[in-house]
Amino acid sequence: MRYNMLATTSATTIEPPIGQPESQFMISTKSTVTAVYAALLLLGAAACSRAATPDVPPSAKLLPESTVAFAWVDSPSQLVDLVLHHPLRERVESWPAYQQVMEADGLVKFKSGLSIFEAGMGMRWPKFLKQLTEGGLSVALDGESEGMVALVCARPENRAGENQNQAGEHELLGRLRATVFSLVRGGKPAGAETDPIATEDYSGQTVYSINGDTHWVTLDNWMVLTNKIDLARQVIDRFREEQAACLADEPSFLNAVRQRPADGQAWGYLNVQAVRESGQAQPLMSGRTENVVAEALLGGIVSNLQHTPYATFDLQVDSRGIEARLQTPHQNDWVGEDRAYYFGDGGHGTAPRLLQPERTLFALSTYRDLSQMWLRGGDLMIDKAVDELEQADTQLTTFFSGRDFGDDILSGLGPEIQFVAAQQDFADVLPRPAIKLPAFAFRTRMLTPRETQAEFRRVFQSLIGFINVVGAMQGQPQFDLDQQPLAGGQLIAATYVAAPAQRDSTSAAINYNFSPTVAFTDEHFVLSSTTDLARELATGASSSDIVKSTLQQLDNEEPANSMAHLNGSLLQAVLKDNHDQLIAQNMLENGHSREEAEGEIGLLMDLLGLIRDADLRLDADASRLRLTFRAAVTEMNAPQESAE
Amino acid sequence: MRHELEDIDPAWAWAPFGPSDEQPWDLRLVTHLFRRAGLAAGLAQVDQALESDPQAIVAEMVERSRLAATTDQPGDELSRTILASGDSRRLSAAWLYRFLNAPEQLLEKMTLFWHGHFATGAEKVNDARMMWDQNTLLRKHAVGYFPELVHGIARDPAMLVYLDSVSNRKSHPNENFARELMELFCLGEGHYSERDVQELARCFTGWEIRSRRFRKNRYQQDRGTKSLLGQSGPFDGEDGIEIVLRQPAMPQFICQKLVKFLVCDEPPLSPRLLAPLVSEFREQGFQLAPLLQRILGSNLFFSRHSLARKIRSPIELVGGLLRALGGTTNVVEMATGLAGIGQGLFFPPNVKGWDGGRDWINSSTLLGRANLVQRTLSSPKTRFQGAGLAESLEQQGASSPDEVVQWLLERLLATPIDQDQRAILLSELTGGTGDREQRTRNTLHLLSTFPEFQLG
Repeated sequence: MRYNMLATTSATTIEPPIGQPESQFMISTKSTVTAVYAALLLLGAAACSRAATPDVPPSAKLLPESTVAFAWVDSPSQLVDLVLHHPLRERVESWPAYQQVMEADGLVKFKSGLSIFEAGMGMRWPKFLKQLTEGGLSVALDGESEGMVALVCARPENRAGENQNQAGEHELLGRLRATVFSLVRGGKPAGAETDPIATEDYSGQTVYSINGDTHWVTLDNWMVLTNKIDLARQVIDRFREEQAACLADEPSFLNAVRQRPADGQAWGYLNVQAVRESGQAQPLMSGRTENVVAEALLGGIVSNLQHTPYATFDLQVDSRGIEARLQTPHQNDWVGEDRAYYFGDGGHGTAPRLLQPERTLFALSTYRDLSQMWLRGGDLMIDKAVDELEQADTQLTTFFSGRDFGDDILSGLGPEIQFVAAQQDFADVLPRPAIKLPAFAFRTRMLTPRETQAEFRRVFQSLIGFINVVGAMQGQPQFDLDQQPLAGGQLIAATYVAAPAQRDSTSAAINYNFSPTVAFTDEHFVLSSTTDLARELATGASSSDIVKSTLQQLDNEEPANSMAHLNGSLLQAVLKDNHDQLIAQNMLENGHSREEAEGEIGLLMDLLGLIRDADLRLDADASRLRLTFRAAVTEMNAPQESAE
Repeated sequence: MRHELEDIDPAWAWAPFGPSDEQPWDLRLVTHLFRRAGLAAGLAQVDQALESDPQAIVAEMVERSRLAATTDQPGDELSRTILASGDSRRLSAAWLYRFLNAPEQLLEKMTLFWHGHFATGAEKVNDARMMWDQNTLLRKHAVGYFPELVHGIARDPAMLVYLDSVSNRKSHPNENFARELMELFCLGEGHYSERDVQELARCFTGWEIRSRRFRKNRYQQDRGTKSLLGQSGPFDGEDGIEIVLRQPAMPQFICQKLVKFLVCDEPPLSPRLLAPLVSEFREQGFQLAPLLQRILGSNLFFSRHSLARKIRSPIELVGGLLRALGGTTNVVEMATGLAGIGQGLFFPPNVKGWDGGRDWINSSTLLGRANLVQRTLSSPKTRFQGAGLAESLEQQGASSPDEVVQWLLERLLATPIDQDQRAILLSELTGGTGDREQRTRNTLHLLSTFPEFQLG
């Protein structure tokens, strides 16, 4: 027997906690159970800080071998501690929007319900959570029963010698069960005669069923909560029988565990092979999409998922931010010829550095051979999308004077793609658009600069002429074309000529965000929404130190297939530029009054102000594919302007 | 067959209504007044109105609308912000938001009336700014001086673009605006000849729209003598409008249309019955405020000839429901839904505007009306005084199923329903599916499908 069996209570009648009248428990049965269950599931997806060696999580020994997904959090209470004692907490609590939220009707009711729960438990919830989850929290999805299960361990297994607290832990689980069941019974509809709690004895263990759809078992110091009775029974079987096949015996799972970082705080596993074989993710696994952008972003990952046995997830959180990693085993030959555009020959394609102009809001660099992708569209897309691509190909070929768009035009561009969006400074600009959009630009390498430059310059001029003709028919302002020499190249800019009535406008049309420009320098081609950004990218004008340092840090890491960077404070600034628009949109789409809309938008701004920046990297080598997401919170001494 | 309206004494019809024992000033009449002079009475307005008397309320309603028409209102700021997107459909939502929330409901209702009268479609104009400028013009004069409104609309860029009248040269006078000015805007069919259209079009030569602005091109103006509606002279556009406005048919035409909009869909009132109203309009120098005060405060307006004698337009149906219950929702979706059942703000069907009345209802729109109410009530964005419907009704003192049904019937229906229908509502409220909030919303939706709910 793997665990010591203790005498189990078969309590079928739970009284309300002493001193609490029945009326205080009039909380919806379903919502109570759902709330507890959801909280456990959420905690399962979160993380806390405790360094651990990459051992097999003890809960894996209780789960069936048919488990498809598994997530484990070592100590959820530490995550809560981190939030409750975070240096930014004081700032958040000072926000007017935070005060409004705390006084909102729903939250007041929640706090009231929480007080009742705490009274029932006889302790405050952080202390309760710490005691309840001291041995970790696991959440799993079983493929056979299609059930979800949460396992909470009130004492870590490796403290087996510390049995002096064991009685207390059982008392805690018993008290929790009594409190929850009282709330459930108190919340049953008026007039309902049947007890919402039913019991079943299975192998000497009592399984409590709440409303027939949630099942609760206490096994020694484990609390098991599941939505399938069969799954509850399987957990009991493995608790009793040491030899029963379990997740911890699965080779794929064990391989995944061996890759688990020693400093991981939360960890997850997905049996991709089982998902594939179940046919549950057929559209994804088929590998053909109707969305060109989705293919360009995710096509290589889909190829990997068509072969990889499993995927893992790990998360680290501290007071400075979070880092999450999604990893799968990888082999270059898993990627067919049709997706060679994604990883390059032999999987060696790497992204160029991230662009870093002033006020960089977002930067993306990636390796994608667009010509190859375009020409292999028939293999990658569903038929409808292929038809659309062919139509687009015909039109673009016409636009490029009969030169084949995929074969002649795109093949002139290198696979190093750079995209950047930057906040625009409208302080001294007239006409000033009412809606202020960021400038954005695309940069790539020309493989045959002389031919490509001539072709693109001509097409850009034709395009501007076409826009002018169509715009004139619609009463839109007209573009003025200008050519400027650059060191080693040329810049061709189109600028809107403001109508007399618009020249000094500070609420001009959205058009005035744009001055479409192309720039050619040596081997690089830049297509930008504004002249200033194009010039900055073409001449390599320096960026601000803070942007530079962050981006250089990213650049200093190992070469990646793709990299993206988002500046949180600039995102906040861009949204502030459009504050009135956001308020109006909120009023119309939520039916809010102006005051309500200002409160909500204010909260959004404040929340964004907490994020300093966020990065995403996709790395691929001969054995591993890894997606890494990092987000850093604002430092305490950073200036913070309230949205109010 | 002679209609009973023919037997009504015109003097009695337009005399000020005074409550009596037979017809007391009660909830039914209060909700009738606010439903016709806007979308519906707000929650707080009903109790206040019951404490007052109808003439005082109507006078205040008209006066407040007159003052609000010439001052900047909170809704203007929202619309100006939305204009930055240049999207007329979002502008439609902005007007709807304003309509639902404006304290001066009569002003918005009359702006809607003139929008249907001087119908201009955003789809063709394709310029949100022009549409909004026209809307501002309509609101400014909605309860003001009718001739000034007509002069304004004659120079309105959106109207002239809509009527393909952006240029009007003396060599080829454009007859579109001239024809509509007499047929649809001021006189009605049968009060002008084809020759009058041609002569009036000559008056408007040189009136152009350039760069979204009105201008007079003196080189294209026909300075010759015109013979228009029995008068001759070297008339220009302003002269032509004045001649049209002085026609005896004009006040008759406007009063007839206003009565149809505010009092009853059908039958059209006879000239005999309209005569006192027409005389007053003329004597007041074609000022609209006194005319509206006379109509909304009249015996006829509060009589059985008006109560529940109109079919609710889509905006009255859904907007009225929300306003009566203190509801808010996603107005972008609601504006799209209204357009789907025939009343997109800024998107009238044609130059004649909305016919209204029985035309609101056919087999397709009837289903669409019920579906729009259902979508609105099931939207998570739909709240009532910031809460659920059941909770909101409880705050209004309607807790028990009987109280809830009674409250809904009194506030939302213009005409009573029978006991069987009431029992159906009670059954849904007490035994339907879902929780209390869901059942309350389902009951309200069920009520909205009753034929009686279609009457305003």
